[in-house]
Amino acid sequence: MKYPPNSGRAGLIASVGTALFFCGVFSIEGTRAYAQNVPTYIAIPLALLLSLAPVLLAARAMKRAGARNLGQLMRFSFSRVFCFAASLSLAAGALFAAANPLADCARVLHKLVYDGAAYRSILAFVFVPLAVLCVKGLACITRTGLIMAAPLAASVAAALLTAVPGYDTARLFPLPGCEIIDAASFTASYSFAFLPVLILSLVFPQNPGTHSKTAVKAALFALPFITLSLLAVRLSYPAAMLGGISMPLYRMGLVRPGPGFLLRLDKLLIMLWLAGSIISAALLLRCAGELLSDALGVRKGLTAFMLALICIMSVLAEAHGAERTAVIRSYLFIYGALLTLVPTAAASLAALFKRRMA
Amino acid sequence: MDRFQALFRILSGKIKSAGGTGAPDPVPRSGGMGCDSEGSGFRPIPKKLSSVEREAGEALNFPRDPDAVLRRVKSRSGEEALAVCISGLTDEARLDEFVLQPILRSGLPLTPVAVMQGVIEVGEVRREADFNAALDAVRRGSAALFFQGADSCLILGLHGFERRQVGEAKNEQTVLGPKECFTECIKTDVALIRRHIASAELVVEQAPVSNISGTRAVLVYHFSAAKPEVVEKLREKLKEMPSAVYLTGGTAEQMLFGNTLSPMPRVLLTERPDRAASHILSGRIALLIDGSPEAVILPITLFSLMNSPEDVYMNRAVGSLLRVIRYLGALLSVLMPGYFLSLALYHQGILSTEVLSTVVASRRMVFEPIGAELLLLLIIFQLIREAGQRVPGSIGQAIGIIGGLIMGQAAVSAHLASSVVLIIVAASGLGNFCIPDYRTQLAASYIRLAFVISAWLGGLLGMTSALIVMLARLASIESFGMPYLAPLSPKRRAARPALFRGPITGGAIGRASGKSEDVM
Amino acid sequence: MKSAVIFILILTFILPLAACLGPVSIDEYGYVISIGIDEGKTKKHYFVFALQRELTEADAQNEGGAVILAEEADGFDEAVAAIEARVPYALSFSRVGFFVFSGKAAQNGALSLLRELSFDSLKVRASAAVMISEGTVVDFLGGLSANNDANVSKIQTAVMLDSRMTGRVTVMSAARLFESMDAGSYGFCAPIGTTDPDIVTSMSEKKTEAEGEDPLEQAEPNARIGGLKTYLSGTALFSGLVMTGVLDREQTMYLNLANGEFKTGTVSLDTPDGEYTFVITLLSAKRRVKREEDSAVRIELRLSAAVHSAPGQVTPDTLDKVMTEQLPSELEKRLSEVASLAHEAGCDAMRMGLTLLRGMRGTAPVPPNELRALALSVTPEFRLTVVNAESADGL
Repeated sequence: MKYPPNSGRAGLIASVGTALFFCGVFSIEGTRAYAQNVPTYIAIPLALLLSLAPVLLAARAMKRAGARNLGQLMRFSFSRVFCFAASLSLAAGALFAAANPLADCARVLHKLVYDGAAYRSILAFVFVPLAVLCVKGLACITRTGLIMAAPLAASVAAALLTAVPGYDTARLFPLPGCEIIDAASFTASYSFAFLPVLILSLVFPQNPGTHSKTAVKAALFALPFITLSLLAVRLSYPAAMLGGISMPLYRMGLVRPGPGFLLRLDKLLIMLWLAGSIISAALLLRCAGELLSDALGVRKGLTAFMLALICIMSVLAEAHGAERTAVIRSYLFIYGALLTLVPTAAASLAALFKRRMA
Repeated sequence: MDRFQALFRILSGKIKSAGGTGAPDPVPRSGGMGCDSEGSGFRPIPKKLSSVEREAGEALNFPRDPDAVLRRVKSRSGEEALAVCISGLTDEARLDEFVLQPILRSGLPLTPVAVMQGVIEVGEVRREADFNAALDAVRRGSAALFFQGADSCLILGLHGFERRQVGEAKNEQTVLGPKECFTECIKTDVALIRRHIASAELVVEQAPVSNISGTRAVLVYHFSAAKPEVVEKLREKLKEMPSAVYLTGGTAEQMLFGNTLSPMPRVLLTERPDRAASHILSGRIALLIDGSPEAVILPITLFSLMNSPEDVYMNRAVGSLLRVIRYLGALLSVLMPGYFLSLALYHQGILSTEVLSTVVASRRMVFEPIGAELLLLLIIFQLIREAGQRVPGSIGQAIGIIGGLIMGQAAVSAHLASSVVLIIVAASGLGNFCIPDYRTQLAASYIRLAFVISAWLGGLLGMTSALIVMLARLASIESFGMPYLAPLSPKRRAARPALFRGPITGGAIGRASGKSEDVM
Repeated sequence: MKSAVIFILILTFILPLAACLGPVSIDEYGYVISIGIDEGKTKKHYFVFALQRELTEADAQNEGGAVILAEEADGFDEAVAAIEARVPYALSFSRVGFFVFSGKAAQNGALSLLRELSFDSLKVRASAAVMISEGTVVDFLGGLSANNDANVSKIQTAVMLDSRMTGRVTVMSAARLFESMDAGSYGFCAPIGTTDPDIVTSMSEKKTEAEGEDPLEQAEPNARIGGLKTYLSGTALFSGLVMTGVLDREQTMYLNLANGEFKTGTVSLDTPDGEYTFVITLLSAKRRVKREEDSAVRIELRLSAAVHSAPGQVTPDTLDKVMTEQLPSELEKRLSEVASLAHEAGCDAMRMGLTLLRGMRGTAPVPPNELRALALSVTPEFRLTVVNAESADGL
């Protein structure tokens, strides 16, 4: 049955917001951020707002071209060959963006929850729902994302609130120095972390003109959670310790002093966050799959399934060669985002130019 | 304006209604209540009465079938008529008193119009020119009256088959509100709905089903509330239904939606006329099937299955509380056994020291692994439930007591099970019974089992994976275009709110406003 | 049908890969609730584990609730392996709430063992409290078991919480220990407890089922009767990971006042002429730390207090004078004494490191040793204001 043109927007906003949250909180390069005493609770939210710029450009181009989604914009702007190349580039960017939070969650699960299990066993349980969501389609992913949005928001709120007795503003000190350039450079580079999510969300078909609103709403939905989470992390740990801690948002619950029944439910939190990262990854991979399948003429579900398989394999590879892949990851942190930024920016500018000339 | 024109057409009888308008109408080509005749089109009625008698006898398997009745009568004017009916389906006493005897006494010429207007004393009568349709009507309990040299016959609505009286809804009991339930007779069911919705906009339409058993069905919907595209789509689906299926509420659902492996029901089967009326007023369509004491309501959402009529009869606060408890019960039923198993096998640190000690102590002499113990108790619980349903009356109640109390206690004493696991299973069972819809209860049991297995394999990780798969599956189900989890997700295209009882404002209904009244 | 086939294929493909995530049934573990470390005789350490006993009806009638397992070993893993070899279950540390070090072990730097433990793989939460025992750890943990109450975990937690409500105990966790070492922003102090074997409880020490002595009947005159044999008696001060000093309960109360951990407390005050003794309850404290221009640090405390008991013949004016003049100066004196003791012990118990941090700016965190040294070079002054909660001003 045909849906109205803007059907599923609320789900898309929730799913993209969730994905942005995971990008902002779970994928931080702790060593770099905290060694330079960067105020992450200011820099990263600013980076999110900064990353909206190319997305708004693309949205404007889509409105001018009358395109309902990114695929139509690319077909309007590029030839078939360039469309295929751009789709491949976006798919690579999606793979990287999808793998990041999954790898973080898998690492925490392996280290703190299932230390007796093999990585592949854990990833097998991650792969099944990821594959199912990828095959089912965007509507299913956004609806599931909308359902999970409230429990996820509640879980983050619970994590922040239960850690309140352990907060100490003294841990924010020493305050960052006056090296604005360092902070600005960190902010700008971190904006790349959000780009794959925001750009790939443009694949979801909507009325021309509403894409910018969706992106902005998703960013505004994620912004307070990102800010508060990063601030809470800084209030719980001094910067000297944060460089060596993975997923400090989860560990906050482990250091809160005193007993309590609810305070032992941190494992439930990590499972909810895993669910959120699976939905985010599925959204990215399915969006990339739709672009690729349009370019290749293959079934969308099959393409998305193959991308999900590649994503899980890459996470598994990272798990087994952690030190080596950490280096790869740090390079991909910037270049992975360029894989999504360059084709989108090129398509947007080409479309605007074409419309201007037309 | 189109809506009023359509309404006018309904009232003028161009679209037949199942209850009959009572007004004489042009001779129809196809039967009123009946479906299309078996495999053949229009067949004119033989002019000779002997031919009619022979062909009708062949069709009704006379004289081998002792119930077929073919009775010739001759009036005072010397003209003959032939009454055809099936004993047991037709009220022969009324046929005798109000049809045959007046004909015997009559001196008028025996023509269909003359007899209909001046001789017989029957309210529901119509002319029929199709011989197949006439025989079809006879098989459904009417009596047919043929006349020498006439090209049409009279169909007399003298149904006299035994039917169950309108009783109390046993499977959907409420403290407040009406207690009556549907029966197996479609006429009675339609009448029950008409009593709840005495509106000109109520449409009762013959369903275009064609099946080997000749089962009749009707669609009942509110003209303003129901979406025309959904009605049309339902009609098409009913036409495409395979003919070799015995049509009931349950089989209708499987035919409409295909034979999927999904345990979730996609239609609501209700035996309460008030509930059916409430859904009709909110824009849904009721499919009534002759011989089936439930109405098939569609399109529905998961939240329709979780609602109970009692929610609407209470005030908003109490109704909302009842719903919240019901949803909590459903969630407990589905998730608690799996959650407990995952904590017991993988995440013992979450449990408090007291619970740990108690569970460990209770399992001291239990021989089987905790996962097997949990599954065993769940299976026993299902056995008790099934046995209680199959055994009638007070013995069935006793089975619940024997099974629940004695077996449970005995199992703990014999160290076949631990008391903690028994409590978990019992609480899960109680939560399952909070679900108002029987099929949804069974579906929840099925899903509970899947969660237990996933928890056994992977703990909370397994349960999370299973939960996402289940949510994805539910999110992708649609019931005639209505997403199963609406209005939770997506936010539109269904009545709101889902969880809490909405206000009864008496505002616009159905599709026009998108904010229909809270339904049962 | 197609999606069902795909789903089944996925499961068939995945499940063999999934293998096992290593489930262990709940009854195959023994749950350690406290870990004690003492000095070993033949080996480096003496590890003591207190396990929660299973709760059954029979157990409810028995004395005590903890199962004590102990082993000498050079390392933690060695001790665990040795103990697991002689018990019919594996040890689970996911419920550990306490680390207890004996005083001797603490003085020899045994707390470094906490840095060597892998909290993640043992699934020990970093919020586990750290305590010091004056005597042996075995006595300490044994004394924390109550008669006929099998819930040892609750008892131990309650002891900590109840003691804290008197304001005479400080609470420290392993996470705070790590923070003090890694960030250097404050000195580590842990509650210290003692076991008095002379305390008489109603716990029957049954040697056989038939025996039933009632220790209360046989108690010495004026014996300490009731409660647990182990109780918290003050605070241990650390310089780095080595215990270097001890404060008693009274001094701990002033320590809490000074470093912002104050909950409640009482002070006994004699009038200058020694005629009367007042007992004053300190209700709340607002703490402000100021850095002076000459880099000195002043801790300003505004206390709300009420008279708990005073002689009847004392006039309200006298009372007010005691509260607003005598009490502040007395408290300042005592606070300075505690600060000196902490300074002599090389412990930044007053958290001067945190104060100094607030005045710093930079692009990198301050090295912990540097911060620690800076903090120890500062001795705070105290300025107190006491408000009588029962007077009009206090309201």
